[in-house]
Amino acid sequence: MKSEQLTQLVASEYRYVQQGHDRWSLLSGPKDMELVAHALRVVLHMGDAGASLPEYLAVVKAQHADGGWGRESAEAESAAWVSAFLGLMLIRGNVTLRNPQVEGAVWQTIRYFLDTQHSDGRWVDSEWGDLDTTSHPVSFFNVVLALGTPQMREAVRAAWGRGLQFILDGQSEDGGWYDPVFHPSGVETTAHLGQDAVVASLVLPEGLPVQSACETALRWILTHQAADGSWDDHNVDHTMDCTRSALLISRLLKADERCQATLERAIRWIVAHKNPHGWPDFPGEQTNLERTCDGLDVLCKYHAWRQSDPLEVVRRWGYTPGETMFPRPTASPRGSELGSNAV
Amino acid sequence: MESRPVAKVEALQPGGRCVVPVDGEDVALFNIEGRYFAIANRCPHRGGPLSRGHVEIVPAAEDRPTERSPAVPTIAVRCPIHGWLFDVRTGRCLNQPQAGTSAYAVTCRNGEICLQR
Repeated sequence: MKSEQLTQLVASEYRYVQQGHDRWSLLSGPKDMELVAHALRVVLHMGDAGASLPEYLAVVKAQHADGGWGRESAEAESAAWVSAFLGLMLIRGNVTLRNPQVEGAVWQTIRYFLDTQHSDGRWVDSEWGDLDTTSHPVSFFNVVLALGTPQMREAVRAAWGRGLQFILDGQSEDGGWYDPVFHPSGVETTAHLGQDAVVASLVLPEGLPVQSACETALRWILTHQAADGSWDDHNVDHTMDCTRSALLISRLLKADERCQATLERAIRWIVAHKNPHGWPDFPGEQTNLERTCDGLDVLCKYHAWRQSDPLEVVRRWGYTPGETMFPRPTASPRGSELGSNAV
Repeated sequence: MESRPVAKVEALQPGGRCVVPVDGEDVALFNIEGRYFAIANRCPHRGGPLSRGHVEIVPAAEDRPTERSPAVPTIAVRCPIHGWLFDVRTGRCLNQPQAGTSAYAVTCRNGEICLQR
């Protein structure tokens, strides 16, 4: 896929997300907070965080006194998985915003996760398996260690280490992570844990030794790809998860060349199974806005992976300092919308 | 809801599944080893299509039955997105005890599969 095509495709899909602003923004009423977090990640990638302070302040306003968020903005009980995702969006957005209210909310999120960690290092969320749940606060703490203030880094270091060790201890000999309650096949869990929790240690100062865990996880992901480029029976969500994970792990293991064909097959499959606007959960189904945000995320990360600066893709996860932004197209070469036929 | 035909028996072979519209709702219809089951297609968690889920047999509990380990072997479908597991006979969610989805009674009449809520 040519860079210009990729740029046009992302611009077109981002317009679609922007047109659906009232469906994901807290500024237009109560929302599913997982969707809010997915959309804010796209806003961040597209370089619009600086112009979106009201969106971030609305997230701050929805934060509970314990430092977490509910799965729905109106839900009183905090949930770990979505709270980590929102905390991540706040600390990353605040690299640009530098807003004291947002910084205060990041501190509140840190306290929430310090208060709710179990003695063996795990975090628990009734809607997710413990490995998957734990990967999210660890991911948030990875970003705190990369982008946070010295006081924040000091506050999270011990809890981060315990959480990461819980995940490392849960890896199977074949390199995958399996969750018997929710994900016995291991596809989504392995893809999440690889990119969200484990691989960041390869670039963080004082990271744990994870080289071997990353190598076996990457091998697991590569060998589970179908010949057509998808994962998990044409599951769009899980194909995007595996693609992202392979992008980041391959880069940090310096295995780009070995993974290039796999990743290009995956991107071709993802682009080919897009609807006229947005992505579905499975080919042929209706567009799902959350999945569309995932699609934009994976394309932005793929674009970064192709850049000459080897750390550009790592910045897309916030695991190393420095701002990153998807380039806006200079002009629309053939009208506006690029669909699957363009690839 | 009255029992109503939704598909031809011959169109859904063992191992097959399809989605049929019933009162404005998509229903996932399964033929599992010659027995028919029907539940709402959209997972109540985040809308994943249950018609795409893996069919699993959840074994009976060896000692004390729980929500996740029922007293008898249970045929279940796992949502392909986040793994919620539904008893296809009752719609009960086996790994989220507070959750569930609509299940339909299925009968065959004059070569047609009929559903009743």
